[in-house]
Amino acid sequence: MKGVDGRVRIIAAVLFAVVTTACSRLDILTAIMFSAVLLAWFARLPVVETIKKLLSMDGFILILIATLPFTTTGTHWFGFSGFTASVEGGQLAMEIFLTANACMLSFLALVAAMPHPAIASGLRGLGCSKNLIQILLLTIRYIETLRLEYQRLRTAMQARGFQPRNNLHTWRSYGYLAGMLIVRSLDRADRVLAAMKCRGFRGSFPTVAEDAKLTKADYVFLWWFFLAVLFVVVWQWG
Amino acid sequence: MVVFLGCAVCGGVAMGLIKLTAVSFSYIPDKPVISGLDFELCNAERIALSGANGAGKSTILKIMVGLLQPDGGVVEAFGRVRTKERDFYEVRSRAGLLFQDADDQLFSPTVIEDVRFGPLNQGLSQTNADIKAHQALQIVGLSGFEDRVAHKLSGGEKRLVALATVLAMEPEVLLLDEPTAGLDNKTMARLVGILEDLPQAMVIISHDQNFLKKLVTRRVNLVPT
Repeated sequence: MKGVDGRVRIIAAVLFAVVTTACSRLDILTAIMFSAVLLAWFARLPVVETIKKLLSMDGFILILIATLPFTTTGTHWFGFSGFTASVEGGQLAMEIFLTANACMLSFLALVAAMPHPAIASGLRGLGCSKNLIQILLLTIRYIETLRLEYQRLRTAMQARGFQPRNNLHTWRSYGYLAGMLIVRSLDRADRVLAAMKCRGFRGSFPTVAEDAKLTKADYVFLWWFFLAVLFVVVWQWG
Repeated sequence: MVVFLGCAVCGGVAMGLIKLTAVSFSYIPDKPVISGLDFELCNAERIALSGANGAGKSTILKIMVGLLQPDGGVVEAFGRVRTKERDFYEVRSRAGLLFQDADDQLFSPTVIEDVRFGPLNQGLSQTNADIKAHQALQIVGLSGFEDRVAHKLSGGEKRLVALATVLAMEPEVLLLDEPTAGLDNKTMARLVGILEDLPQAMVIISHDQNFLKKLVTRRVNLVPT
């Protein structure tokens, strides 16, 4: 999986997401989820970290999944203290859960596991706008710096006895913190641009190496992937 | 009789590289940071630029490479008067500025991409830019760091990589803004070793007297206006 070209991996990830979100049968979605796990296995994703990432996403859809069975009308499934859950709601919740996790997992395996420059050259190879790619790369580069800056400010606040409570002082302080982060980011952006100008930057980025031709391994991967997708499409709609 | 056709400041047979004449600058109108500044850097000189906080040391370096436009005075670099942004394109390629905060300078995801950014901007091919980048990393003793992720380096490593990004462009002048700030003794000694071996003329801003003692040939002290 490591040798597969960036373009191929990005196309595969998009195709995977499109087909998965279009599927509605639970048995097929389970099979898709299983293949996403296989992809993750091939990409040698670190198990614990990957599960943590999935769980942090599941946190967002937890409320949706928990309430769907009770808010969807349909056949009685179970009930407690006056609320009744429907089978249809349960199925819907399961469908959303599987779709989200399969898409996320396949994306982690296919795209996120690549080194950043490989993602960039993959996107470039697919004709993505140079400016957008640069924004993506700069975001990846500076998100850690931004986090460190946030942490420095947070520590400085704590060092002076700040404890978050639900009062005006807390919210105002958080407001200042957020504002200061934005101001500092703007300053830093200015300095980064100045540093780039010093190295001859005149508004456009130098073009990097031409993309390599697709290898046999890329075609083999693509064929297997297309076959799997075709299989799912026939299973669902055939 | 021997006639010296050289620099008026250092008196030797030397060529003026960067010359500021009666330069003034203010961030806030009517509150000049610098006024009437004369400064000249000659071949093979290593000048320490000192002065109190806010005396305008960094500002002077930025004026030299055209990042700031002076309110008055003349900036000459490499034998020509420079006024417009376009005039400074060449200056920036021949006078490398090392920023105070390496995080400002290193903006690429990996080390090698950052180091070859300058050479690529100079119009070199990918292969030649890579060669220059490898050489620069070798000079600062960081061969093998090519594929490291820039933001995960230690503070000292970041500073050395930032120096490599400047060296890769093979400048004739180095403008160093607090190169030792935040470095431990070991990394500082390493930096001194690297800088001592470099042939370039330098302007160094630093408060570290030990560091300056080992390197500089002349000192310029800024008096607040």
